Amino acid sequence: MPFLTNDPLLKEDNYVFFRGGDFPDHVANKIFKIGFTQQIPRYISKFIANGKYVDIELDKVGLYPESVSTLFELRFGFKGNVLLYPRYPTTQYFNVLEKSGFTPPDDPSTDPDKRYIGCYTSVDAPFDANPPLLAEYTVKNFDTIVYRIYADSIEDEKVVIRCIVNRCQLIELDEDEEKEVKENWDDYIAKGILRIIPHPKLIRWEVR
Amino acid sequence: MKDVFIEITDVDTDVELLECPPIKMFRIVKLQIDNRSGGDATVEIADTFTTNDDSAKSVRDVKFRETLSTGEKMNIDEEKIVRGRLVAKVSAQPVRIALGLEEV
Repeated sequence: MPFLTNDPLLKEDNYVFFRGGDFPDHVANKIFKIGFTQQIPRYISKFIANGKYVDIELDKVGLYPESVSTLFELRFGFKGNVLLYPRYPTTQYFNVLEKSGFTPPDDPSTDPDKRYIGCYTSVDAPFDANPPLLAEYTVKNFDTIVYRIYADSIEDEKVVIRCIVNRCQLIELDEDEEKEVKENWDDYIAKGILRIIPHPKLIRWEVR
Repeated sequence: MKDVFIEITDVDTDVELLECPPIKMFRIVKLQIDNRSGGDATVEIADTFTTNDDSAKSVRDVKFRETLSTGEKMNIDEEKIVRGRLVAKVSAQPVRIALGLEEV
């Protein structure tokens, strides 16, 4: 799920661990080695009337892999006077505060205070950062993630989203290599060789 | 910087100055208008597009509207952002328009 990061893109010979039983079975709680990688830019542009929003379902704009042997590491930046809210599951905002009711309204225009909870702006995720700072990971059959984009402006807005799709080949480990990774777990994480990809429910502490 | 120069001879109709590519936006950094008709000419420059939200609204965002007397030239410094199809409409002809644009 979305988070802001300065981490470099995954590269060949890195390891990833999909933490959480709610991931699709082919990756859940498994370690993979990254094989070939390919960086594919994907741009999305929308016009939005002031005070209105559009929803972008990431799986419907090509940002989910079709193969079980692929991980998409997505990095987003954008320009335009808009607010970007991740929604997961699709009926809820992902970034909410703990106190009850501290979530943006379903239609952000209806509450000018709570509208500014959990949203990203072009300051958080600038269009031209390399790589862009807003990160997301998708695999085949992963639940739909929606980006709700609200025109927070006195005039109609245009948003241009720049996404770098780091298309990563997932290679299953043999027993010896898996044992080696587990023995060097903390060291590999510290050196950036191993990256933990937690399930969104873990990030929200819905499950432990 | 991108420069656009056009002499408009069609009256009371939108004439395209620039079609902004979908993933780009431009800032107008120079706008010069030269009324070469024999009388007053009202010049309107607008950014036009249709929104992708539920309203599917056709927007005509007027960036500039002014009446120039015969032979009058005007330089406008105010910076405006162009996002869609930039058009000009004049009430008398010919009118020359020079635009300088920078990508945002």
